Amino acid sequence: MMRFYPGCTLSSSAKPYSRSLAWVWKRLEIEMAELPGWTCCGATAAHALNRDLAYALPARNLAIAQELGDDLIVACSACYSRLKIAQKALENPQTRERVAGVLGRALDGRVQIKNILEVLSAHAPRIQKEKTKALEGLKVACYYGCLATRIPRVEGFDDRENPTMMERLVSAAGATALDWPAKTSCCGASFSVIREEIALKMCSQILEMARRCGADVITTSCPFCQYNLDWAQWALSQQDGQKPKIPVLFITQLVGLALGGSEKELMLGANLTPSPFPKREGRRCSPPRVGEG
Amino acid sequence: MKTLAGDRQFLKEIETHSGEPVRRCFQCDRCATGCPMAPYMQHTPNELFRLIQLGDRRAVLASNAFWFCVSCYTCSVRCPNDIDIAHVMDTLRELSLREGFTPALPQARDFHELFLDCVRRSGRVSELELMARYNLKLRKPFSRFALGWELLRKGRLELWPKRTGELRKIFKALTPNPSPVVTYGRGVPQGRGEGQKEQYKEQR
Ligand code: SF4
Ligand code: SF4
Repeated sequence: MMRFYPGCTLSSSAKPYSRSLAWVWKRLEIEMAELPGWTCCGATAAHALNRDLAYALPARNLAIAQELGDDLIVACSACYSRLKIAQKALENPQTRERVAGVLGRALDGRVQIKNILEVLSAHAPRIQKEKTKALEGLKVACYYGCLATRIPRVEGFDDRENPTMMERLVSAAGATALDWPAKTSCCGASFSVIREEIALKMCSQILEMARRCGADVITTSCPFCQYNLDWAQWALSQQDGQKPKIPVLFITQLVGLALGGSEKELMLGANLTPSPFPKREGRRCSPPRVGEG
Repeated sequence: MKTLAGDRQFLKEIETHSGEPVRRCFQCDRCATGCPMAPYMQHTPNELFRLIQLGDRRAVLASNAFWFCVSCYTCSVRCPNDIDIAHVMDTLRELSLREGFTPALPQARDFHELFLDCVRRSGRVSELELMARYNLKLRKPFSRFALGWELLRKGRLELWPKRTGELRKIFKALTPNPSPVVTYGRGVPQGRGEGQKEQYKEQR
């Protein structure tokens, strides 16, 4: 069976992600259970300050999955990257022995860690077959950010600098995927807390690029990317009174819309940028006019 | 062997600790070209690596480069010599703290420490708790109030997250102190560097 590792953000700032994801799983009849007793992967904080923790914290979750004999499905790009990096580091017998000793659990490195985009892509034909016309004509900029694809020395699920898996999903969902150059740019990550002005600048550049390429919406699979791009538009609107322009949707919200999910079921109202989609189910969407004036 | 600026021990130390072949860097500048944080860094990654090769310990460990590094891994996947540069940045950050250098971005250190303390105590991170503690640490309890309210209103902050004490054991085994967080003091805690220096020596 597939075990889902949600990570800390999915029950909090990325709540719309976990809601829409659960809805899409159900709709596509994908069987998935949460990893029992999962704990935080340590995120950037662990590898920034303490390398031992950066390996031990993800390893604990790998050990649980291994004991169950299950694959691990990860939605958050940061968790995905940390789990993959730790698994790679644990290939070193000394590191593995040390970490296994601290955890008091065996580690064999055989757990398959899969990104949510891989799982969704496997169902692209079904999404294509069962999609409604909700997304027709919508121009979507797919934003991957850093951590989903750039993992040193680890074979990823897609190209590191020019991934295309989300584009294929978006096309399957009936929308138009844009070719744009900022899809793996950095959103500034935790700098949106520790040095806001820097993250704001980085996000603005990405948003501006999306706008120039004619994007109606941006979609992403990373909770931090979604939050930062969402937050940046909100923050700018507080500063200069401009309305946020480009909605930032989780990929599961977009796929969910194509499959007939309602605004409430997909928690679209929780995004800080306004939803471009109609409130009532089944009505055709009219993309917002972006880039005018 | 003494080199121009310092000693070779430093290069070896960094290489051993990080496991990365820093000596291979031949200054192609590819890392710096793609680095989104290069404009804020006193030394770009390649400059930092040159200083490591020259053995200039002080200049390297006092640099702000690894504090501004966001770990985006652009450099690491592009380096033609297969050096995981972002990982070396982590190593330098750890070393710099242990040797008592004042962090160029104290709030980054505080944020990461508070994050880890949340993980230690609860097993998972509550963003609400983390932000509240971070605000207290900065002595700006009401900063981002409007944003927090907006997120709360939209159901994007969890009030009562699930907690587990499972990780305390692991933290105890892997951190020198029971908690990586120092007491709430005004500004940069005094004497902290000294203590850490001793601990590091003991570990070695
Ligand atoms: S990319 Fe690698 S070899 Fe080139 S300057 Fe940077 S560290 Fe040196
Ligand atoms: S990982 Fe750090 S040093 Fe490397 S490109 Fe990103 S910000 Fe720059």
